[in-house]
Order: sequence, then C-alpha cells, then structure tokens
Amino acid sequence: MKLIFVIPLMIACSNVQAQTLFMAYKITGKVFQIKKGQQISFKTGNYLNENDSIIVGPNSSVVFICNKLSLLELSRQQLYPLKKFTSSCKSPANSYAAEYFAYILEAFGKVHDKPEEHRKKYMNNLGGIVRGDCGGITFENYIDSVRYCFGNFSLRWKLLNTVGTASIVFNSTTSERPAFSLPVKNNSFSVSNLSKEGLTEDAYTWKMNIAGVNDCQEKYFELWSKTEFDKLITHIEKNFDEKLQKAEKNYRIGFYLERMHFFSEALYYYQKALKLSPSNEIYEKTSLLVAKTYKLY
Amino acid sequence: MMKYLFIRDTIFATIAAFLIIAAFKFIPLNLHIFDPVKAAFSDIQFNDLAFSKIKKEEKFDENIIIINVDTAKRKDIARLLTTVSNCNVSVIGMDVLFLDSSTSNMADRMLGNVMNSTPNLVVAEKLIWVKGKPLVQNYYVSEAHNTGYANFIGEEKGVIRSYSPFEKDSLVVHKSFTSAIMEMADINNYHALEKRDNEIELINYKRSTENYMVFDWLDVLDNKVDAALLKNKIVLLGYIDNTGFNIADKHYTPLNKDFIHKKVPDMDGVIIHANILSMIMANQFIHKMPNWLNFLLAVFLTYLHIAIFVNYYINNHKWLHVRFIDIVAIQFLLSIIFISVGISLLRLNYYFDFTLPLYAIMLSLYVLYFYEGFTNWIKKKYNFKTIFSHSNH
Repeated sequence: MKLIFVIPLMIACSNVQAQTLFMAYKITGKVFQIKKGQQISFKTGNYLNENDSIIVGPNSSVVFICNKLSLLELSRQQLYPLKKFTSSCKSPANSYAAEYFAYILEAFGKVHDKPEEHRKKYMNNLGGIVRGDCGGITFENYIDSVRYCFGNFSLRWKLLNTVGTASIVFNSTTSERPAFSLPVKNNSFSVSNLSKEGLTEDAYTWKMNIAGVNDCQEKYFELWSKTEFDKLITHIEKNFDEKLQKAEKNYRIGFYLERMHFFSEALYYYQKALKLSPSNEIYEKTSLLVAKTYKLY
Repeated sequence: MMKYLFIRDTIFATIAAFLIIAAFKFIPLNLHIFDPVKAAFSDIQFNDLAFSKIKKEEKFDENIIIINVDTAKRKDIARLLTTVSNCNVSVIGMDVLFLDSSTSNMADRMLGNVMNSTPNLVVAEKLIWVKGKPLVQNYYVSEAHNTGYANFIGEEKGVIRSYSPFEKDSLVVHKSFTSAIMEMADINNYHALEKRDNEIELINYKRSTENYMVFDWLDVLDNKVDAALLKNKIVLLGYIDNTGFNIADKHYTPLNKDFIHKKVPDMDGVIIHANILSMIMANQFIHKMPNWLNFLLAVFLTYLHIAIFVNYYINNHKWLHVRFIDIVAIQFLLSIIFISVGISLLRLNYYFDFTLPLYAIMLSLYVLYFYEGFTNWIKKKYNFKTIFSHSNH
C-alpha cells in the first residue's frame, strides 16, 4: 500500500532532479523569453528551465550556464526551445569524445592569442560591478535634465526588452493636468513632436513605462516657448561686451545654452558662429563635437 | 651522442624545428584542436595547476577588509562611505563603476559630494583604448580625488591571470585601481611596484573570498561592525556574491577548483583586486623569466634532443621505428618533468613559460624526417654535405 505513495513521490523527485536549469550569464542586444505566448525580457543571473523558449534578436546573443556545468552560447537570430540543449548540460565526464568534438567545432578557426602580449586588446574585463541603469534601461547621461525650445533633439536610451510595449509618460510639475503618455517604438523619442502632440510650455518630469520591467525614477524636461527663449537670449547677450564680434557672441550664447542643457539650441548658435567665421577651427570642432555627443542628427 | 653534438646537421635541424613552430604560429587556424591534451586543458596553462592545487594560502589577510555593497543604491553608498571614512581607515577603494548617471539627480549629487569630501577614497573607473590611447570612463571623475582603472587582462570568458599596473600616454599616467590604492596605503610598496616597470604583472593568487574578511553594507551602517576593526585598514567596497549563483562581477581565475573543465566563474572582481593588493604588500610578485632567456633555454633543450635523435637516426634507425611509441612516451615524460620544474619555480614566485621548449621537443623527431628529405633534395641538386641519407633507413 505504501508503494502507492512512495512510487509517485520517487518519480516526482527524479523529475525535479532531471530539470535542467539555464542561468543567463551574458546578454547582448535583444533577447527575450517566451512565456504564455508573450515576449518577456530577462536579466543576467535569471534562471530559465528546459520548458522555456527564447528569441534571439538580430546582432544579439546570450550565454547560459546550464546546470552549473557548461556554457551555451546562442547567437543566431531565431527562436530556441531550450529543451533542445538539455543534452549539452550533462557532465563532460560522461562523454569525453562528444565534448572534444564540440570543442573542435567551437575552436576551429578561432586563433588563441596570448592576452599578456596584446594587453590593449584584452583589457575589457572589468573587475567591478557597474551601476548606472535601471531595470535593463540605460539612459544617456545628459538626458537627466533637458530644456528644449526648437531643433532636432531626441531623448535616447538603450533597452533590452521589446520596444513595442514601451511608452513615455510626461507629468507636469506645475499643474494638476493628467499625465501625457506616448507610445515609443524605438530607442529614442524626438521631443520636437511634443508640441504637435499638444504638450504646452511647462516643466515636466518624465519616465519610461515598460510593463513588468522597471521602476525607473523620473527625469526632468522643460518645454520652452519661443517668446520665453528669446527673452533668455536677450538676457545672455546683456552680459557681453559690445565690441565682441558677432561670431564670438553666437559661440558664447551656444556655450551658455549647452550649460543650461538646451542642446539642439546650443548647436544652432555654434553653427551660426561657424557660418560667420568659417575658418575658425574651434567653432568647427565644437559644432561637430556637440552634434556627436548629443546625437543631434 | 657527443659525436653528433657539434655537427652542422644538428644545428640546422634545430633551426628547422623553430622555423616550423614559427610557421604554425602564422597559420590563421587553431591547430590546437587536434591536440587532445590542449582540448582537455582548453584555456588552461599548466601553471594554473600550481595555483589551484599548491599555492593556496589559508591565512586571512587582515590588512584588507571588504564590504559587500550588494544592491545598495547611490544614496546608500554615500551613507556607507561617510560611515566608513569616520572609522579612520587607511584607504577606501570603491570597486563600483559609476559609468553614467543614475535615475536620481539628488542621489548622484549626494554621492558626488561625499566622494569630494573623502580624500582617502579611490574610485574605480573603466579604461578604454581610443586610437591606441588610454582613456577613462567615470561619472565621478571630477568629484573623486583619486581614481584607478579596474580592468584586468584576459580573453572574454577567459582566465584572468594578469593586470596592467600603469597605462601611460604622452601626457598622463593612468593608475590601476590597486596601484592608486597602494600609493595611498604604503608609498614604499607603491614605489617597489613602480620600480619594476612592468607593462603587465602576473597576479599571484593566494586567497579566495573565504580568506578575506567580508562584511555586509547593512551591518556596517547598522553599527554591527566594530569601527576599531576597520582602523588603518584598506577597505574595499565591492560586490560579493553570497548565493554562489550570481555572476554579475565574477571571473575565471587559476584558483578555480575545477581547473580543467572551468564551467562557472569562481571569483568576484573585488577579491581579485584584494589578491593583487596582498601580493604587492607582501612583496610576492611573480618574476617572469625574460623572453630571451626562455628562448635560449628552449634552443638548448631542443638542440640536446635533436643530437640524441640524430644519433639513433643514423646508427640505429630500425630501433627508432620499433621503439617509436617508447620515444613518444619519453618525450611525454620529459614534458611532465618540465611542467613539474615550472610548478616548482612558480612556488618560488618565478614564472617559466615552457610552452616553446615543450613544442620544440615534441616536434624534434618529426622534424628530423622532414630535414632528411629536404637535405637529400639539396644534396642532389647543390651537392650539399649532410650525414643523412636514405641508406640510414
């Protein structure tokens, strides 16, 4: 009689033991887990089991450590049911020949350098934990606080989860107006669209909303009217010497604006300075650097 | 054998052995895959065996204390820094890389201010190479008084065996995280490191996490750790994996217990830094044999082997065929002897890279066959004088 209870228990235990666990070790690009038909992002250190499937996006890859035994790297753009890889998680002692041939396949064509002889090439291993993102989203430093009036400027970030379900939410800091939410399809959001969408001049906080992924804190954004912006420029100009050349005046306005996080507007004034004095190397280099740093293209 | 020690063919055959090794080096394929020993020891240096089995030091290094920051956020780390700096520590090493801003401006500023008011703090940063020039990436570069790069040298997912103590360009000398800490903790040891003037230093691994005192950041903040314990110590703030499963800052090292099939990375980055600091403080640097001496030794050993084989090749060639397996076994035995010598030297903190002599010795017999064929060809064509002829067979 006891066997009736013991046998299913043994079967259950053996099943638990047989379960293959895949721990995400390194994720590059867009890699998602499929759960109940939905794409869900996962992080380094998360465990997946053999019943899970993953999707590896273009130019992306994932490395798993399966059952704390072996590394498994998936880098082709396709759907992978993890069940397919359970055999590669067995102890290598069981199949030395299989391990050897797997090694041949992996290693053939890969030249092993001596890292000590080419240190510059092999100094990419960081011995410290990296902090500075939230829940799989890494924001560009400078977008912590942005002021904007005109020009081509985008809020940018890198995110690992699906871009289809993300939205950006703006909340006014001065009034009780309801939150302003817009869907995000790429890894950037052009703020020049805000006025078209009905957002008026105000100070806002904004954050990314991605279901079940992150609880990022808010960032700061000011939308300026042209009238107010012109007032600011007049105020800046008041501080300049009257004898100052026009090109230099524009360059300095650009500098002040950049410091105030008016990025696209700063570029406008740097370029204006360059137009007035095309041979000036500093104006040229600054314009290029500002366009590159803040990705103003 | 002495008879063949000083003949031209022995010299030429030795040169041929090295030429063949050089030719293999330029073939853009990984020919090691056909070597089962190499396959089993993939990304293993025989010296790793010495580290994993012999060199382990069981004693704690009481000069270094590690505080695990775990999931502490910037404002928590700022509080932790304030608490630790009030304990009169020698140096604080922040092994957390802040490469960009967080989501809270206030927390960013708070941590920046604390960094600015902590003169004995060294903040880790990332070193990148742009057009051959070293540049550093650090969000708090203007707030921190002292910084150092936390990069190690090693292939991706490869074993970390070395680091670079200094990186220089024409204007700046960038210090590694540990070099910057040592400069503040003990200037004499720092000068000793500087004087060595090595582009890379091999890491003398002696301790794993169990051999350092590690405290949790919450315990330090809750005053559960006696401040007297931290006094005059080097305190490293870094990430330690308590679970054994989190590999966020974990690396493969030669101390990996599973030294052949290295499957899971074994050491947190902060422990590697601690090992480097222990090495510098105890003046237990690994002295690497100069390349020229290594090469000369390889030439000498190969030359001896070739002389022995030439003797049998000329006088008892049949024996060479009959006892071929024995000869390979002898070569293998010799290799083991070299490996043992290498391990013994490593125990004395002396590193001898025996890869070249090992390959040269292994190749020496096969090279003789190739050499015989080649010399017979030039003998016919240019009347080259050689002791080899087909009648030897």
